[in-house]
Amino acid sequence: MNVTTMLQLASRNTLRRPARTAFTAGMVMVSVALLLIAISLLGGIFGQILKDGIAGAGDVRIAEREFVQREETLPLYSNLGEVETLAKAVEQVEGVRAAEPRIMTGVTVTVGEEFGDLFARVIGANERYFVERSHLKDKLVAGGWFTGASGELVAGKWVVDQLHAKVGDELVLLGTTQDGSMSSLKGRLVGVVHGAGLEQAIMLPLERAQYLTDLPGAATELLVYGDDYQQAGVLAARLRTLPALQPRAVQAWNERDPWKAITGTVQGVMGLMIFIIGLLTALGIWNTMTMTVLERTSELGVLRAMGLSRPRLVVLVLLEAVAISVAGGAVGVALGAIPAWVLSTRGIHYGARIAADATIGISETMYGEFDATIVTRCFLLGVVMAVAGSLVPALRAASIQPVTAMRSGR
Amino acid sequence: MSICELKNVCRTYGSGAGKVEALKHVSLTIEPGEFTVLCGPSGSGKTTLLNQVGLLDVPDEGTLSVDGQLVGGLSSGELSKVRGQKIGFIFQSFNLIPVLTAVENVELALQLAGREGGERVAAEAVLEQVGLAGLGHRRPNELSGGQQQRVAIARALVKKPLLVIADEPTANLDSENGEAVLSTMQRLNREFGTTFVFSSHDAMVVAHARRVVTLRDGAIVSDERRAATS
Repeated sequence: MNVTTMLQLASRNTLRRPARTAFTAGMVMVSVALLLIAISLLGGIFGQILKDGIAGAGDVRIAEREFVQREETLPLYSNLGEVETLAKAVEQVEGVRAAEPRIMTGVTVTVGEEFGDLFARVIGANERYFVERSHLKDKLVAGGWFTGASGELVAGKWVVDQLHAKVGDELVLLGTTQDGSMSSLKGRLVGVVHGAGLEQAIMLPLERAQYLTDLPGAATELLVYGDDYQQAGVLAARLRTLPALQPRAVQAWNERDPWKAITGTVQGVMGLMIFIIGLLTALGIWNTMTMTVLERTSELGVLRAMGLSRPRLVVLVLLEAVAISVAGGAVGVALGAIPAWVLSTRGIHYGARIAADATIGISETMYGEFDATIVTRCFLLGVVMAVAGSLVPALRAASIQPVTAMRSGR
Repeated sequence: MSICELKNVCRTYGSGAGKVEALKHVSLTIEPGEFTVLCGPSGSGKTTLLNQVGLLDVPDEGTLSVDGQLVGGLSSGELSKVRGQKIGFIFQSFNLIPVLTAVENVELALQLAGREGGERVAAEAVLEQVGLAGLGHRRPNELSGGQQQRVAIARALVKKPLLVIADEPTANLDSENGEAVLSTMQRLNREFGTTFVFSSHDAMVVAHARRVVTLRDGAIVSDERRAATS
């Protein structure tokens, strides 16, 4: 039997029970449409969260191995000396757009001369990191940005609220140096920022943080940015070959928490969702094709008697399932594409307050992801699930003995 | 050389108390051009024997050869190929594919026999031979029982098989249509030398056969050859 006849037979067979075929195709349609909307929404939101988060954390981070191992305690003694020289060497590597030194350390903070009991996290970095990478200037809710005058600092809104401080006040930071000695630093509050991950932070120019921690010319981390955060693994692999980085830890964003955990969770959720939707599609097709095979046992037996081989019979049944799923999938993609497109162009507006109060960095408006690849994937997934669901009935069909033809109608 | 030869063939169904010996050491040779009917009461083994001859089933014991080729060791796929190329089938319930037209049903047999090219012309020619010229575009449900059985005959014959197996071909037809179908088969046998083996209870069919093999309790009790009838 040639391919044309098989296709003709499969497509005509789908019309033998129009209501059942329409119901099954409808299931595929709904599944594919749901899948498209869900993948578009989750993929888009997650992608945006990653993009926003990685903007502050770097595509790749370079740090001393001990710093990475004991990161919760932010061990200052494990630092990158002559970090600017190291940054310049890293920036020579193909694919690196920028390398930003950063110091993070814990402090207590107060207004005026008193010792405070409010804990905060100091982030010391260059202007370029704060403005171009973390976009902190856009998150100012009071005051202004660094002017270049000495002794300026910018703090998170939560810290400022807790201290009952206002722009222009002098804050006193009490921290430790790299050898564990106490260290203090005064600074004038010039701006207040509001946003996820910033509330408990105090931003200082790098040299002021180096002074506070007694890390002249050093930093605890070097954050590396490339052209595409999704290629961070490749960039990290390339950086690992740099002799100056040999004893150090070079980690792509997805090798570090919280991104590592979030990526795993999101992929797990998406996988589970795809599995459930796919399972429903497969079950629908399985049910229909099982009934089809049972109803046509004698007819399939006749085909076997006339010389149709088992593999070809399997293909014939699968083709019928493919015909149903292609029809359902095509309509499903068309239906799902409308809300997915709206999500990708208009997005979901959470509002500034929710975005700022979120525990992870999210934008005020989150957009879905929608392109030809997603549409194709969802469509193909629907077809693949339909084929998977029809495999068992197809194999059952192949087990029909040719002698069945003789028994029919007796 | 004979078309089909069974030697000492046994076929048993079930086991223990439910064991049924459907064929007991049956030997039979079908020669080219024969018009043979297998007859006997229900449960005598007619259809079981027909299944063996048509390679639809395999014997538990004994040997079976078709066109000089022993088929005992052939795989399912190889048996399908032999059936597709060398054996035509006519079933009691016609068993046409309902979603295909008459001519497409006939073409299908050619395709399953692995013939490519000219299927439509060949199918239409055979439909004309069985008296269905101009009805090729109709689907089975648009044809009478007699017409459907003639499409089934055309389907069995279009690939010019060595042997045509017909299981109670007139059982689902009225006497007029049954007679017409039988005469068609006889004419094709006479004109093209097509070998027919069929099972039947029908006295009219038995009366027209040139060889009558009678079975009882899974064994051949008589094998009678007759002079040609008109």
